[in-house]
Amino acid sequence: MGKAGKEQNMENRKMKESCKMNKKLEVKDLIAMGIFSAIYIVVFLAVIMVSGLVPVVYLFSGAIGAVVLGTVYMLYLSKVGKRFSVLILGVIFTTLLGAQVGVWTMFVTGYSMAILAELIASKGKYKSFTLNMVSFIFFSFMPFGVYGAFWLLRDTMLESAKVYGEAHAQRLSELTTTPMLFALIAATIAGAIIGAYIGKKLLKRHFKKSGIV
Amino acid sequence: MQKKQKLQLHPGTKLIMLLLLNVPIFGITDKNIILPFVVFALILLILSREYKVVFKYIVLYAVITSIGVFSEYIPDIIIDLTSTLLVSLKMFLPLIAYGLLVARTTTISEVSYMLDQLRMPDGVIIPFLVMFRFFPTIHEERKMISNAMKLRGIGIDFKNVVSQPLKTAEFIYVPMLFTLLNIGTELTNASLTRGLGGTQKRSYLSTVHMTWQDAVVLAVFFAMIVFFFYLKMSGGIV
Repeated sequence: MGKAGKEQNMENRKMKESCKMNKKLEVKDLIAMGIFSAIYIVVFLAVIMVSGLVPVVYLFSGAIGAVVLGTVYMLYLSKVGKRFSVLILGVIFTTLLGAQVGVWTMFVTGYSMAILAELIASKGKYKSFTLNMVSFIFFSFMPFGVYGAFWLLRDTMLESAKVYGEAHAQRLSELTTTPMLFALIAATIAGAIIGAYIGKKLLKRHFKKSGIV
Repeated sequence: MQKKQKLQLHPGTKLIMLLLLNVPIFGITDKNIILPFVVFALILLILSREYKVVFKYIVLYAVITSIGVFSEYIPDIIIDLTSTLLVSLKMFLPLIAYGLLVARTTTISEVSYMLDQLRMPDGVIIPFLVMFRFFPTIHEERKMISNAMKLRGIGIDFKNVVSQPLKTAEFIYVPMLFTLLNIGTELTNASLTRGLGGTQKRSYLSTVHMTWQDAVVLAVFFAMIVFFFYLKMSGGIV
């Protein structure tokens, strides 16, 4: 026994310690969270600005954003994949965007989707790619409260569209029908899946090689 | 030497107003009613000496409103194409006025103090503060990366974004994530050295409290909401 047993013991203790450390959020993780929230928000706003140039596309900004942001999300999970990490990213994103736009639906969809995404990602211990992808799909629905207001607050929005003429309001209500809503949801889901796969590819190509992940 | 007094509101006051404004906006459909609320926000911004923002906001508001007034003279196709954005902007503009009030007049230390008073865990406060610190850093790094890219003929310009969007995105994205993560590691070491993450409670250099200014502003705001709902009940407006 002697030496070998001692070594075994040491190794066990190290493993236990590293397990404990992995579960709890440290200062290192908190700072990484802040960085990722900043990147997430900046990239999302950039996408909204670019897609706002072609206004019908504005409705699909969530889907386009998901394609671009998949990389950030996947890198975030592999870097800070710990309990509450997804939730905190979601809460910060929602609070900051909500404090700018101020629509109450943004807060509702934002916080609820963040909680769902956190639950799903934590099911796979933030390591299973499939579950991470599903959680990213929910995560991409967070800003739905802003551009989805045409359905969530339909009457008020259409009422205010009448300023631009009854005919326009009519056409807008024809544009924002239920099939369109389904198209929007389908597009967001597809965007999130594509984004997740792009993220996986980029992670493998750049970050795993350099040892950052 | 006397410094000119400027309005300083508690961040909580501004957030309460931002959230409560949803009630009249989505509860009263007569849009002219919202104008007093917008004027109120602009007055608060002026008192906080944010003249530039007020000017830009008024220009944007005027443009959006004038499109509504002159809609007969604008080709149908333009309004149809832009209607989703126009209507969203029109609905959200009053809210954005209060959003500007929050964003422009609140300092980071105020926010952190307020979150601490609300007994938020460190897990929420620290990422929040780090995020604000990183917005300018991201801007700087992006500039440096695009300079480096230009040298190699893969600049971030319109042609490249349109012809090969994924590649261009990858070339900006990946180096950006790399540098930011490295900066993050340095920041972690620096802040650990200064005692972040210790067991002691942190102290604050600047504190904020509710003052009589907050009380007055909130009272006026509530009075406006109650007044307009009274008008609506009595059938004065729809």
